[in-house]
Amino acid sequence: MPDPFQLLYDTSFATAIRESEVVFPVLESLHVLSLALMVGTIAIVDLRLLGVVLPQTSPLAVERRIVPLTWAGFAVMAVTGSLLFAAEAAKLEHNPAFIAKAILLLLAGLNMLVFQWAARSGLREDAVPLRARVGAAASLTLWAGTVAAGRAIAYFH
Amino acid sequence: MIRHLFEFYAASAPGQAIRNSSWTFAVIEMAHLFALALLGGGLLVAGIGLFGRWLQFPARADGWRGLRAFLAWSLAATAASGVLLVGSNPLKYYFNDAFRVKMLFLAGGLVLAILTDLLAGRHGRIAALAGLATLAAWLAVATAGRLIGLL
Repeated sequence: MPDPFQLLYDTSFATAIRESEVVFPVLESLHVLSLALMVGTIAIVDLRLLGVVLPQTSPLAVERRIVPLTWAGFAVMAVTGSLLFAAEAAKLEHNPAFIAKAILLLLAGLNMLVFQWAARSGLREDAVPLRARVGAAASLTLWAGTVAAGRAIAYFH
Repeated sequence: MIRHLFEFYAASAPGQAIRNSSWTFAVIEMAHLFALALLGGGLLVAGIGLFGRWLQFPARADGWRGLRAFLAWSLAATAASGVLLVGSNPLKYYFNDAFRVKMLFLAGGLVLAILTDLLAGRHGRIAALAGLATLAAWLAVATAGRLIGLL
């Protein structure tokens, strides 16, 4: 059975991205900037849940106002990340840092879903339940790990 | 004068320790990126909040005020990890055009951030424009920083 990663890597589309002196670095820079936007805004929501920042604003209001920025960052990050992945698919398949990043991303996404479905319902204008604070701490840890693993990909190339 | 500082850093024990350990550099780079992400996210929320429309904090300056300490700490972490990163090869950074551009925007971004902080809460529209200029300067810092490795 042919390796799907190799098939993706060999497409003319992926080859064009990989071999371009402009497209690849531009995509990489946009990916890092959008990741920064996403992680930075998530961190502010998490730190509000933990009571560290924006103490005068209710946690629900902070979450409502900032999450659209997070989604904007996520959209750009997902598109650029997919294109970068296509360009390097065969090399990333066995890269331990990439595998770690993918697992951490999955866990961070699951943590966000759990927050939306379970912990968010207990949020009030003036109080943050323990499960929401635990989720916020887990989120910060997982996103820090994702950034670290993403940066480490280059060291295992 | 500035070149002597970079040469001194290159010859110093911390500079040599960072240069001789590949994983020390990698760990510092990860910390730098995470701190920059925190700073970028904080500046974006605080800056947009000054416009008072989209993010709609109870008062325009609430976002900036509530994030002031967070911005200061993330800036300190970004700066500290950045100084350590330069230690991996100070003279290479000294002669890198993107690094020089980054330092110029960094100085501008710092001045604009302090100006925004002074204006926040008193001069609504001017503070919002200063916040927008601060954001633009820091976006340029991040872009120039990304270019350091490519030039």
